Amino acid sequence: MKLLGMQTAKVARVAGREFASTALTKGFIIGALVLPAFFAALMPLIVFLVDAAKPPAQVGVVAIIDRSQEVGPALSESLIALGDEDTPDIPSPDADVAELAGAATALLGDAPRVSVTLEPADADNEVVRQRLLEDTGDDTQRTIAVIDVDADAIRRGADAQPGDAFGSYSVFTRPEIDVRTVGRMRGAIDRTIRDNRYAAAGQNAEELRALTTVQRRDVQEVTESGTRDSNQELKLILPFAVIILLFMGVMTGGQYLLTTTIEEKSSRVIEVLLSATSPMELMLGKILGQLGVGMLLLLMYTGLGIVALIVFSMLDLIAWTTIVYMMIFFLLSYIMIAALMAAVGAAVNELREAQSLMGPIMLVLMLTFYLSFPVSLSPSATWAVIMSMVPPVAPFAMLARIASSEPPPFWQIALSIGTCSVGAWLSVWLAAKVFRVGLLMFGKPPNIRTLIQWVRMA
Amino acid sequence: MSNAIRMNGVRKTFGPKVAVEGIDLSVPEGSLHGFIGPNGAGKTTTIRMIMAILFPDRGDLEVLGRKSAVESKDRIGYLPEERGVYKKMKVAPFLEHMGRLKGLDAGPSLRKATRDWLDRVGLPDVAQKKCEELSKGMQQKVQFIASVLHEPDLLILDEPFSGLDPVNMRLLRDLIREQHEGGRTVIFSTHVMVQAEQLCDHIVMIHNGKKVLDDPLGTIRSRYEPTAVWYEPMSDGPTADAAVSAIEGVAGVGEHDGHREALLSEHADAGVMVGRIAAAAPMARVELHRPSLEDIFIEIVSADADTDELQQLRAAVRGGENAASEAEVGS
Repeated sequence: MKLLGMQTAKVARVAGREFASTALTKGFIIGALVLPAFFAALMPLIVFLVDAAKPPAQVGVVAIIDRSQEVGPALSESLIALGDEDTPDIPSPDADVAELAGAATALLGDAPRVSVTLEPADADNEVVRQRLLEDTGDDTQRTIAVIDVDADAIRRGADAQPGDAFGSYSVFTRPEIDVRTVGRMRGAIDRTIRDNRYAAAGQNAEELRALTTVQRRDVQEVTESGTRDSNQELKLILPFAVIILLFMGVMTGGQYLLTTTIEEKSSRVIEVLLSATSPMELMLGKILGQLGVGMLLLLMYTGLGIVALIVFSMLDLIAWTTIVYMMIFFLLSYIMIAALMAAVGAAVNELREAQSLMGPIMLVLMLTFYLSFPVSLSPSATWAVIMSMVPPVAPFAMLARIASSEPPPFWQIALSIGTCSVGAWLSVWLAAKVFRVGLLMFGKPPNIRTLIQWVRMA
Repeated sequence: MSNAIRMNGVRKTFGPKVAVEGIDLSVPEGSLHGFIGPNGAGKTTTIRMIMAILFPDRGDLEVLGRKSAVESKDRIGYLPEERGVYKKMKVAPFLEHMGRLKGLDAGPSLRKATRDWLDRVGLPDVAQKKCEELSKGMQQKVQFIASVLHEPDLLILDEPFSGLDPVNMRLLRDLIREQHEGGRTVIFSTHVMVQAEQLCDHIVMIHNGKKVLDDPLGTIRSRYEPTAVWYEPMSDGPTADAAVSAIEGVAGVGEHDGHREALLSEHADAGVMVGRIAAAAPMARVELHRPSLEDIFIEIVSADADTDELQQLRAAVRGGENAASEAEVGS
């Protein structure tokens, strides 16, 4: 059977070999299945190792120069109390941040166990800091940090106006003090200074904390089947996940296509193939074969994602139409990029030579990829609508919009599919010309100018 | 008899370089045509245009009655000069893949044909070996199978003997003859003219992209009558040379390719001259020396070339001493 002057059986045969020679190899199976599984399995191990790598319980003396003369003893108590805390202090009244930070506390190390010396309010900072350089030979006696609290840290100066900032404090440490230890000490200092300011202002610190804290409850979604927790974070992540999947599918298929074309050319099997097929049949067969590879990867990872959503009862987060559109836009985006990669593969003699010609294609692809992220955050902005209509950005941008919380109207999706189809056709048309001429050109690798000459020549 | 190939005023350029200039050609069905000429003469470009791998800038071309080989690729077998295989693919799957690309159906008959051909070329044990595990000569035989597996009507072989040892050259030559005897049209391209001389019944000589000779081998031989007699005196010394040079009809004596040679005058009868030379002095051997294709080629192009160029051309069309001796061993 012939289609557009090409024998479909030959195109299918080339595609079949291309798919089999890529997807049925150990390298692909390892790359596509084993490596992701390996990294997934590695995650708990990494968490475990990070957990195991807690900083040592740091001991020593903290010298406090309290120039305000109001907070020294309280600071001293707070720092000494750190040694008794199971979890570090999180210096934020924001409940959500605290929740997030709470998850991180498990990763933090043992609390520092320190003793405190209160220095005179007029102590010379330079002199006290010298202790950080001294080696006492006994860790419990060495000074590990110096805290210098400003005079107006608790009360503003006499000439200050309401609303002016309070004074603060400086921390000086030995170089070897763990950054996490310093962080916990600063948390304690912040809280202590804040509480003292409240007290100085005649306020009850506990009451103020209660007043300024709003406990957030999970957003509830009301559906016909009942009320349930809304997964706002997942909803935000979804467009990104879809874009990354699309990018991965396009890149994988395109890269394989580039590699196999170069291999066929460098091994000189290309002329044997051209004696059996036309250049267009060969190129289309190769594109379709690697389309299968990209589609396989896409379906595999999408399938895994769907299984995960089913397991966590969140399948309704993703509409089935999104998956259909993802496949359509993958097809269009892949053809646009892969055809150009096939042309580059045909033009060069080895992979190393392809780098310079791949530069512009990779630039476009990366630009396309990164531009789609702001689109997903502002899916209805005029610029986002325009981007979702202009190839080669359109497939990524439109998919980001479709997967966002404000999906575009159908006519825009249809228009985008139309413009992308034109883009794909144009890309194949250009690539076919370069492919036909380039396949039998050996020797000096061409530059962009030469490629343009080939397009005119073919 | 209809033509398997017909070319009319075909021209092909690559940038400023004219690779093929106005070639007219008719290759009748069932013939064994030799395309000869030095490297870079335009043979491969001509073949690639026949195969519709390249397209002419100008001129008409018909292959197996179609306007382009694209429409009849399944009826053509092609062994290109630049040979290659899928290195990681096993031999039998590679051949089956090529067969299927040429329109054969997958199945037991294709597998059997593949096995039979591997047996015939002396590679019965390589079917499940990867192509990269084969020697260059073995790969060449595998590629030859790929070109004939689908039993084409037209077989085009571009430098098929390059890189083969004498034994495999003989095997391949026999297989080519067999294909020809089976009624197939065979085009055989080589820069080693002695190979074409041994195999072809029609010679097309190409030089600098132009066809300079297109005749049956018999016609060429009759047109280019012998102009020298090689002789080997029984004893060394100047006596025999002096006796030969004194014969009427001998224009001079000298040495050519290690042979004593008497050059004949323009109107001398070669048959008579052999007898006269044999009688002039005691001879171990006297032999009429027919001009080879190489000599004819040099004669044709000598008008446009200086001495250095002629020497270079002679070296190019001989394909080196090894190629010539291999050809002799293989014949």
